[in-house]
This record gives sequence, C-alpha cells and structure tokens, in this order.
Amino acid sequence: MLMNTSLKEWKGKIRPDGPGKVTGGIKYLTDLTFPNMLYGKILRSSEPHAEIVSISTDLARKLPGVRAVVTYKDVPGLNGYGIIFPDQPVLCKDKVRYVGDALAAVAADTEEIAEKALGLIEVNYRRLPVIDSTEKALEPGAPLLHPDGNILHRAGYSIGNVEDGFQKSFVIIEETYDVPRQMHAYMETEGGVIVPEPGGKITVYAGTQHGFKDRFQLSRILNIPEKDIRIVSSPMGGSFGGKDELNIQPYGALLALAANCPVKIHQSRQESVKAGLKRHPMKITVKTGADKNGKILAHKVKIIADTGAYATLGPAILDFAVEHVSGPYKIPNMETEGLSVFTNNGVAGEFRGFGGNQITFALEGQMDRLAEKLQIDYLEFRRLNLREAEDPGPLGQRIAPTNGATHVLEAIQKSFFKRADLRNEKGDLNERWKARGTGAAITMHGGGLGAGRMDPAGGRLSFTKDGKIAAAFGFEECGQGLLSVIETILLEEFNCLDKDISIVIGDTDLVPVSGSSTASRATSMVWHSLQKMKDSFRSQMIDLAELATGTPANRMEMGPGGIWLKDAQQSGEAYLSFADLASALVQDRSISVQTSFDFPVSPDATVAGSHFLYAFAAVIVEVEVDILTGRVKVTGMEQAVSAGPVVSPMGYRGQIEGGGAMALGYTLMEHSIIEKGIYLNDNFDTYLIPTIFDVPFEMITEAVEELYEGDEFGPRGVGEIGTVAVAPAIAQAIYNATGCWINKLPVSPELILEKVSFMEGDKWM
Amino acid sequence: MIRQGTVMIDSPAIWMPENLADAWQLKHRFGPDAQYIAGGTLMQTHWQKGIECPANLISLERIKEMQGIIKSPIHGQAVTRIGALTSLDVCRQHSEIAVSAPLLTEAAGSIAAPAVRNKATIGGNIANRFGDSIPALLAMDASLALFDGKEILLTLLSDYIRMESSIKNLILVYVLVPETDGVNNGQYFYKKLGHREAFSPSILTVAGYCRTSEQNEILEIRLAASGSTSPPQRFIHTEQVLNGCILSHELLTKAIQTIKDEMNVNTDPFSSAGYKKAAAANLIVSGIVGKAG
Repeated sequence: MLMNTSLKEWKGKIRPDGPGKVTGGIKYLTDLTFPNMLYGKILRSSEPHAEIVSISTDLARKLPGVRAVVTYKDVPGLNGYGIIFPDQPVLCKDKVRYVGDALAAVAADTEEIAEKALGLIEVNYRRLPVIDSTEKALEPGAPLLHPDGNILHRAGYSIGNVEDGFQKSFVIIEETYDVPRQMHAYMETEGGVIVPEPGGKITVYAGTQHGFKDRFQLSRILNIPEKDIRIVSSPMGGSFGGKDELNIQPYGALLALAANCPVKIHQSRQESVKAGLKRHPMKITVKTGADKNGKILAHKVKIIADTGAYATLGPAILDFAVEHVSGPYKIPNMETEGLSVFTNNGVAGEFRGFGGNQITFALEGQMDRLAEKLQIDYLEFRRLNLREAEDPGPLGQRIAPTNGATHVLEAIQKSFFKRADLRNEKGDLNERWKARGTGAAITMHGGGLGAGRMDPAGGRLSFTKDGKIAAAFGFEECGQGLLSVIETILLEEFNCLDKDISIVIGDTDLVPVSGSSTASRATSMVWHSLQKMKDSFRSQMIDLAELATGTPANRMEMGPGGIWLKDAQQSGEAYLSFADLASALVQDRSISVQTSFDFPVSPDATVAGSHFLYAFAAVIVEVEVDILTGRVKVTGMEQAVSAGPVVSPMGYRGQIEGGGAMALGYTLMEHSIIEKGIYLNDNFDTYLIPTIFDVPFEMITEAVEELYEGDEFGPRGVGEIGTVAVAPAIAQAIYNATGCWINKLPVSPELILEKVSFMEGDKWM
Repeated sequence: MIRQGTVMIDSPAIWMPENLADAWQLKHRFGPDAQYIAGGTLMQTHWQKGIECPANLISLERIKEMQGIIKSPIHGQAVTRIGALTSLDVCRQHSEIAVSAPLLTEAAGSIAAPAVRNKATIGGNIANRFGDSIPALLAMDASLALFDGKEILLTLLSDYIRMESSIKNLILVYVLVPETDGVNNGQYFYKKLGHREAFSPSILTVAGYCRTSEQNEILEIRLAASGSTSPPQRFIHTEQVLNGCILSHELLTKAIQTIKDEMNVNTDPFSSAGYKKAAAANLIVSGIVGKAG
C-alpha cells in the first residue's frame, strides 16, 4: 500500500467526510425521513420485449394504505428521459423493451403495502421476439426496437490507408475481443426522498452525478419550471457513472405530487440489477500490422457495442471508444468503425472508464501479440510506437502537449526490472500446480466531455457573515473524496485552517453550475475555478481588512485563522481574525466571487467528443495461475499514473487502488449474464465482486506529477484511469504464466484449464 | 395475464419447541405450511429470491439434544459428537474439532463469510444437501443421528446423501465424526473451488482420505465432491479401482478418467459440467498425491 509522491506530509490528512463514512455516522439521502412520508415502489416489466395490451391499477388503488398509483397517463410533461436524448419512457404506454422498464409506481403507508399493491397491478402483455444479441438486432428484417431502427449510433475515424499499411506489414494480428456487462455494484442502491413543497415546488433528495441535469430532465417530465425544482444530491454511497442518469427520481416526484406527501423510494438490490445501467459489452474485431522493426503500420478496428434498450449515454461512450482505439501510440494508417446497437439486454450506459476499458483491452492485447510474434520485449515494443509530447491527439486534434505516456512507461519499466530481481529471490517459484507470470499495459485517457459538447464549469467563493471562506460547487460527492479535494486546494491557496472554511456542494438552490461530476473532471475543474477566483477573492478580503483596520492592504496577507501582517513577527495569532473581519461586512458590503467557463477543448477538433487533456497510466501485475483448476489470482499490482500534480494523496491512491480492484473484478469474475433478455445473476450471491481476499496485498501507486513545460492546466482527475489498463495487464500476465492468450472477459478458468497441459514433461508422481 | 411477484405482508408464526418430540408434532400439525429453521441463513436467501416463506417456522434452537460438542466412544471407536445446532464458526474455531476433525475445521472456514458462519449451523449445512461441509464429512466417514418422531436413528452420511427427499422431514440431531487417526499414515485433503477467493458459492468442493502402506499401497480411500449446483457424492467406483493398488503416475492418470466418468454434475450458467469434472479430478488426484508427490 505504498504511494510514491513528492507531496508534503500535511496533504495526507484525513478527508473531512471520512470519519462519518467509516463509522456510519453520516446520513445518506436514502437515510432521510420526513413527517407523513410514504414509501414508493416501481413496477418493472417482467418481459424483455412485449406490447402492452392493458394495465389495470384498480385493485392496487383499492388496497388499504395505498395513497397514489401512477401510470403513463399521469405524466404531465414529456414521458421520456435520457441524458443525450429522451428515448426512455418514464412509464411505458404501449411497449416494453427490457426487464427494467417501468409500468406503474405506487406510494403507500409502508413499503410492504406498496410491494403488495405492485402485485395487484394487472399487466397484459403480448410477447414480441426478444432481441438478445447485437447479431440478431442487425439481421435484415429484425424487429425494430425504435422507430429509427436498431442502430443507436455509428462512429468512425480513418487516417491514411490501412490496406496499404497491411501490404507493407511484416506481421499481422487479427483477433476479436469480447468484453462483458459489468455492474457498478455501488453499496447504496438508487434511492432518495422527494418532498412536495408549497406552491407546487418539489425538493428531490436523491443521488446523482449532475444535479442541474436532473433538474432539467425532471422539469421536462413534470412540466414545472426548473426554478421550482431543488435537487439535493450529495453524499452518495457510490455511483461510478451508474447514477448519472435519472433512476428513481421521476417516480418519486410523480408520486409525491400525486399524494402531496414526501415519498421515499429505495431500490432493493434485485430492482437495482434489473433497472440499473451496466457497462457496455462490446465485441471488438481488430487487425493490426507492424513492420520488421516493430513499427505499427496499420490498425483496423470494428466495435460493436450492445447498448441495450435505450440511448442514455451510449453514443458518447462509443465515440470515446473510437477515439481511444490507438491509445498512446502513433499509427499512420487506421480505420475504425463503431456501432452501438439496441437490444433487449437491459440498458448499458455510463461506467467509470467510459468505453476506454473495453477498447484498451483490445488495443493492448494486439500490442502483446505483435510483440510476441516479432520477438520484441513487450514494453520495448510499446516504447517504439509511443506518441511524443507534441504529437497530435488520437483523432488528429491538437492536445495539451504531454510526456505522460513516456513517463508512465519508464516508471513501469523500472519497476518491471526490480520485480524480476525480486522474483528471482523468491524461493517458492517452483511450487507445484502453480504458474506465475507478470504482465503490463498502458493507457491514455481523455478528461472532460470533449469537443462540441456542453461542458460548463464554475464555482463560487464567498466570505460569510460568520467569518468562513465558503466555497460552493455544483459537484457531487459520490465517494471519490471531492470534499477533500476542495478543502486541500482552499487550504493551499489561502494558507488557512480547516475551521476557516466551509464547503457547499450538491444542492441546486445553493451552488453555481459546475457541470457534471463525471469524466474525471471535478478535481480538475475545482482547481481551475480556484485559479480564476483566488486573486479577486484575496484582494477583496485584504481590502475589507484595510477598511476594518486602517492598515494598508499591501502590508497584509491571508493566513491561518485570519489576516496577518506581512512584516510583523508571526506571533502565533492572526492580526485580524476572520470572525472580526466578518463584522466589517456591513449591510451592502459582501465578498463573493463567481466564475463560469468551459472545460478546455482542442482548438481544432473536427470529431465530436475529441479531448484536449489526457491522463496516462501504466499497470504492472503479477498473477498466479492454478494449473489444476485454471483459476487466476492477482498477487501484485502497481500503477504509475501521470495526471499532473496530486491534490489529495489519500484520495488519489484511493481512486487508483479502488479502480484497480474494480478492474480486477471486471477481468476475473464480473459478468451480468443475460439470457433471452433476463438477468441470471440478480444479486450479489451470484454476481460476484472482489473481496479483500481477491485484491493483492501489494498495491503500489506511483504518481508522476511532472507536467510538460508551460502546461497550465494543473491536476487532471484520476477517477477513471485506475480502471482502464488493468485487464490487458492481467491477460498478458496469464499468457506469460501459461501460454494461453485471453481474448474474452471475464477470464475463463475453463479456457485456461483446457489450454494448459501441465502434464507435459511433468508427472503426478 | 402474467402476474409479477407476490410478497407476504404478514410475518410467519415462529414456534420454539423445547424438545425433539414437540418439534416433530408441530411439523405434523402444520404439514407443508411449516418448515424447520435453525440459523436460517440459506432460507433467507431463498425468500429474497421470491420463494415464499411458510406461515410457520419451527425454530430448533432450544432443543438440548441438538447442542454441544462432546467426545464419546461408540463401539470402541473414539467419536466426536457435534450437535446439529453448532454454528459453523464454532466448528471452525473449536479446539476439540481442530484436533479430532481438522478437515471439518478447514471446511467450516471455507463456507460463506464470518457473519453467516456465526448464524449458520452444521446441521443446516448438511440438511440443505449442498453444503461444503458434506465432502469433508464424507471423507471422514461421518454418521448422522436423525429423529424420526419416535427415536434417533444412526445413518452413515454416505447413505444419507443417496436417500430421497422423503427423509427431509427427519430432524438431524447431531453428527458423529470418527476421530482422525494420526498414526496410520492416512492423509486427508479438502479443496473448495469458487469464483473468487472467499465468500463464494462452490463451483466444486472435493475432499478425501487416503491411507497407504510404506510401499505406497492404498489401504483405505474415500473420495467425495459436491458443489452449489451439484449434489454431494462419494466416488465409490474410483475408490474400488484405487484400493489395493500401488500409487503411481499411471494409476493416478487412470483415476483422473475414472473420476470424470463417475462424477455426476450439471452445466450451470457459470461453469460447464466438463470443467467441473476436469477440475475435480485434478484436485482430487493432487490431494491423493499430497506430500507424497
């Protein structure tokens, strides 16, 4: 659990929300109760694809204790939602397209009554053929899941001439990579309380990654002005992208308005599995050619993503995968075609890594196979093809120059050699029935939403009447440690103390627009906001101090607990405390600085979604393969990350180690299996995520903080990058241990056992 | 109409009989509307999956005969008697069991997670017929004491697992484990294969006992397997093939095939029958080889 960074010790302080979260003292939004609160339940479809013949709620309405029942007839505004476009019905009218589709919702005095009422709602379906694979969806004559057909989105990118590149290639590798449907598996399932307020207003207490976006979507559904909707959305017990889209909010709001009482909905794990988003399963077919010296000449990729029943962020995820097809490598000839295809297999959407994990598994798999065929060391092969600092981005766009790729590769190379020494020292290498191997992979990951997309950021700093430096951001705390980030940057900029500051987030009535807490952007945008606000705020504070004391502004500065004299001996006490300074805030005088700007984008991007700021990671893992069973255990994992200066070391390490563990699950065990449109593993007894026994005891995070000369963009977020390159590193380690190439996740022990012939040259006794 | 899900609002009646006879009578009184319950950890997962909880739950937890761990010789053999209500955690930690039935200590530690092991009982683990303790107990040649309404009958576990579900209503009172004889060159093994390192349903669990002469002749052998979707079984045929033979690479290669042929498993959504057979055969044979390999 080491962390190599150059940071000062004080930055390792405990995060402000840490003790509450660890002790259970903190109240999540799903813990809230209100007087006269009712309990809501949502009736989800039992059918993956069917026409709705009728919905009868009469019996449910008559059940004692039921206070409201709503169906599509009760949606006053647009009966649809979706971050990109609203193609998902809030309550289905004539058709269901997956087993999570909502048909009705009930509010009752108790959860049990609400549940019973759901059982009394009669739905008559006429079953339709289930489109349970992208292949079926793309067949000519396949039933259409949406009016425009079964293709949600197409994306592509070409440069040079791939056929020409293949002609000139000395080796060519063709492979299809198959990656699974991963579940976010947050501890807190979707839930919250929606409270009707006087004057037809509502307050929504429910986790989301973008409060203002929820407000916009709810306004459209409920047909009430955005200003009449307040979204309180932090803290959340995990999201990982899964709660960015609306989930229970529309149902809670419809019921609360219908019953005129607060309504709480908190999904059970089974409900969450059924209705919730998943990571896109993808089939990625790749053909890559390289010359004798190891230079990649051509790379042709076809991505088919199973996006499930509705759009949500499916198009943007495909765009992201297409953008990251070549990763940190320079490839002169490329041709990429991507399709995001509708099926009746749940709904796939936003998930930490955003399409990058899938494509990186395919790209790095190709790198390993080419290196092996060319008999070049696999790290050296990567170095030969690595981008240089001022090269254009993967879609030909200008990006912030960066040496990140080289830095992380070098870091991992050093570590690899060190590990080789350690391996040689270990005495148990020849333990029977075990094969050991080491593997590595690297990645490049864009931050922010990308070119051509609304990606506003901003924040506000104010000085309160009780003498606090108050920072307000429209970001959300979903476990990532945002409060710690804000606190650390404030303390650093203003040299003040914990007790001098207050932080407000996650409440649309109180915070400015900052954009979404997604796409590894929050840390970066908090830092940018403070860079834009700090000078003005500081000078207003000093001006106020001058007004209050008569001491010239140029003799004073901000410091711990208040305003300090620059030239005086630091006696341990502020010249003017913040509390005293606040008393100078008479009537019409206030200090408040607000900023709004957009996430930096490439000045010449031609492809929507192209990024400008990138982070890099290299992963090295050690695995132990049981050759009797094919089971794989990861025994060590190290990640080198280049994402600019570290803001909060504990948070940084948490993101990289936690991301590593999440990706380990993706690689070795996690798969939401859907058969004929029905989830087979609907709870944590069959959908298995790693426990502490699966996570290597040795996890190291190395932060490469150096930025390219003149880079003014500060820290990049690391919320996603720790998950991206783990799978290919494990796959390669398995190959090095057993000679078995992995092209499908989660890794099948069955496949390894079939391929490993341990008896060769060996005997039982 | 396709009706979606039903939920019971009323809680079941909980009965707390003090002795076996009363428990038996209650079950007869309510018939299919009642179920015995001890730790309830498995039943709880069934209810979660929509299997209806019966109107009456007959808790066995107060029944004295089903409690405690004692050593008592039966027919001159040292035997450890483990009450069916003994929690898996007690099985895992009990010093007596660690000495007399170490395989059970190991098996108990491989089941579920600490919170579950605190509630779940050895009786429940056996009576649900898919528990991971079963192969270990088969390897140890354990017997069960079952109450049939009148008296307590002793049955070999290896017979019990082959009985039809009609014996389901018998109350499992205690488990008898013959004491491990540490001086006769016998060797036990237990291996559980899950989808992750801990707290995992079993893909397959194998256990065995093999006693050999100094010349490596197999004098006594018991081999068993089970899984969360595969019923427990003893490999009687494989045992017969191996018994009396000298351990060798060739013999064990033959055993691999015999085990695969004899093993009765199904393909489930997570693993194929072929994989389970191959892995079980490898694990069992490596267990037989043990330190001798």
